[in-house]
Amino acid sequence: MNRGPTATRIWGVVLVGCVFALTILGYFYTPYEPHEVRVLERFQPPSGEHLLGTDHFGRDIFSRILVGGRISLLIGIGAVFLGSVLGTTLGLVAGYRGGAWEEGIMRISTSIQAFPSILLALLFATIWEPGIQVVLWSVSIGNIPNFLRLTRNQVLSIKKRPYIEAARALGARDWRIMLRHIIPNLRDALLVQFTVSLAGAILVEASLSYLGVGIQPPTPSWGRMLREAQNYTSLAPWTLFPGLFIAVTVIGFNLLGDSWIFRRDDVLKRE
Amino acid sequence: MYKKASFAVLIVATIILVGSGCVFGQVLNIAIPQDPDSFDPVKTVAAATGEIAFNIYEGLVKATPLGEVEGALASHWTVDETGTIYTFYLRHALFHDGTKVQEEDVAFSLNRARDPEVAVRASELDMIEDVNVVDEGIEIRLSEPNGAFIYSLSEVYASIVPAHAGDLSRKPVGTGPYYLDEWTPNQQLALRRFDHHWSGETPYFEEANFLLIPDENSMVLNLKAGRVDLIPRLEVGVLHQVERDPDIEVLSVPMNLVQVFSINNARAPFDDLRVRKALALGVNRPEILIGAAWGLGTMLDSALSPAMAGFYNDSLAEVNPYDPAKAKELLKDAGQENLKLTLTLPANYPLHVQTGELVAEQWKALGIEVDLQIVEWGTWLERVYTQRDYDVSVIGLAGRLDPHAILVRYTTDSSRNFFNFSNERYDALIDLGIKTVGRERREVYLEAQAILAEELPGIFIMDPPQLAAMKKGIQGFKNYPTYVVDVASLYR
Repeated sequence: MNRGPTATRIWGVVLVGCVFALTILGYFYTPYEPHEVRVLERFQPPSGEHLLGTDHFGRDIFSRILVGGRISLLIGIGAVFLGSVLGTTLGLVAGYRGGAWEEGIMRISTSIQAFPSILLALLFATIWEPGIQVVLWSVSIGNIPNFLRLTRNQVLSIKKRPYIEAARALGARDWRIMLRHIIPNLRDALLVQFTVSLAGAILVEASLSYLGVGIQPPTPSWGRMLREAQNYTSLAPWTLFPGLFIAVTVIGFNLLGDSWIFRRDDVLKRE
Repeated sequence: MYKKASFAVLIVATIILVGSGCVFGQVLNIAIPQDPDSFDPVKTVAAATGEIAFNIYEGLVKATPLGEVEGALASHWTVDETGTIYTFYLRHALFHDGTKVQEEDVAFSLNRARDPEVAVRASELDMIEDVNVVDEGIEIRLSEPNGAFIYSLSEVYASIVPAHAGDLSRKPVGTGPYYLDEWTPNQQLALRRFDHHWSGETPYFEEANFLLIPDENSMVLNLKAGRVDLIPRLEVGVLHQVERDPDIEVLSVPMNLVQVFSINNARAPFDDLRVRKALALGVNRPEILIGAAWGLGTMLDSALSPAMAGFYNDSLAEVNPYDPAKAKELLKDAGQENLKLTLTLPANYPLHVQTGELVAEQWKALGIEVDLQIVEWGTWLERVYTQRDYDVSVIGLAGRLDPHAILVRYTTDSSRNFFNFSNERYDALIDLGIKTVGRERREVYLEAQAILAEELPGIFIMDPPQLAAMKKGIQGFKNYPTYVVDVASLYR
């Protein structure tokens, strides 16, 4: 396969596009009501009637995947967005101000990094009830250091460039320099980090729901569906379809991220 | 030449090793999901402990698979005409440490078991007024006649331990057919055959190891791989993994467990019988049996399991049939068309969680908004059982030999009445039941069950199937109405 930038981007767009399209479709149409229990139709294999079969309560798996995609995407995007805003802000301050600010912020970042998201989530789940807020906060806090370090490193190199010195010589204030001259230069790097983090966040959500501290029934989420399927894998392997969707989404976002790296490298080469 | 000699030595050594394996006797490996809490009979509350302790400890009497009691350490006993003075006569029996069981040990054990300072379930023996050693026997005086008394003597807490015993929680000393040789927490409990049991019988297995395997899938894999010979309680959701395996046999027997939707009767709007009745009529039990128990459970209409054959009220089937139309009507009557409720489920019991999920959907069809809360076992015990701070929950109430022990929890003052149920007639019946004997006693409990079905402290769902999965060739598995595994009856 051609691993060039174009092929990567196309595959990324196609995979992510499909997942988004199906999730949006889920808002308007599902073949069956996703919560509807029909015990007499449990463990039906995939067929024209049930595209991806039915689960242990006779619920239509395809309908549940359509609805479950919401959770994965919304939590993924929401949590990573929150983490990126916090991380970028802190990174800007650390990189631009330096000194004690930098020292303090980097210490905090290191201590957050010592806890993997899953561990944070288990901690939150004992403080609050398991649920959506646990996933949201643990994923976003877990993502802060990634964005923080990236931003700080970029800022450290950008702030020495001549145009920043020029802006400062012209009397521009700090916040103006950050907003107008530094952030636009961070955009590509942040986008790449965003897509990679998104893929990670979707996996973490799935793992947490799988462990039982994430999304609670009856809300379908792909991770939760996998947890419920684990006893029936030999009897009804089609109950594992949500796993395929997780994989496709994660690969899609990773490919998108890669394609941005290629693009940025192209731009740098041209410069 | 030297090589040949060493080869010969090797062969001889192998023969000796293999041969001695046969001589040393048989080993049985049993998979259980959780560690016991304490082996001190008066300190334990976990059913998981009772399951193992059954093989280590014995009381004056013990349960039979039919749900009756027979003499264990007591060879026989007499009751006086007032029904309040029992005299027990001991057999010649030895404790695991080799000392003889004396009348003083019995008095010590029972007095300890009814001392609220030491024993967590002292209240279950509060009918005893006095325990005395008389010539060649032990005399137990009751405050009044009590039909449940003889059954309570078969419970773990009434086990007979030596008066000179030290801390029993880690090093139990009993009289049972097996003794605890080694306990590696979270790994295994190694039981060994006690060769001086009073019965004179020698169980087939010399060693019985209880292996701790928390995950049901790992249990099944271990059974298939031959590392485990017996899973006494197989989770119904993994049954299909062993069903068609020609090397594995699965026995399905009633568990004598009452699965119940407990309703907080003290909390509005559930204090309104119409609301409780609507919830009950909205439950489609056949659907739950298929969806959660793979069609293997026994549907319940009463607070007793049909396994309690002598007392079960079998005429209650029509009291709470599935009738969503009537349920909606009742909600409307009660002004609760937009009822919202929280359903609290114990996360460690997949059967109860699945039952809860199914019923939540059934209730939603009535227009009820159901919020599912799946909580850890500790949280469940604290919030639902102790503080009674909940709307509706699902739990299984473990079987006992005597109906009183099961039904007394619905009386107004019971500490185990987490339903907050209160009914004067019911309280009076339970009081009466314990003083009554024979056929009349049965009548009393039939009426008590009818009241529970009508007044609905909770909604009775099913007696789930107990599935015992074992390697082909393991024989003699005995099913008890209580939560035990009888190792001594097994052989290969």
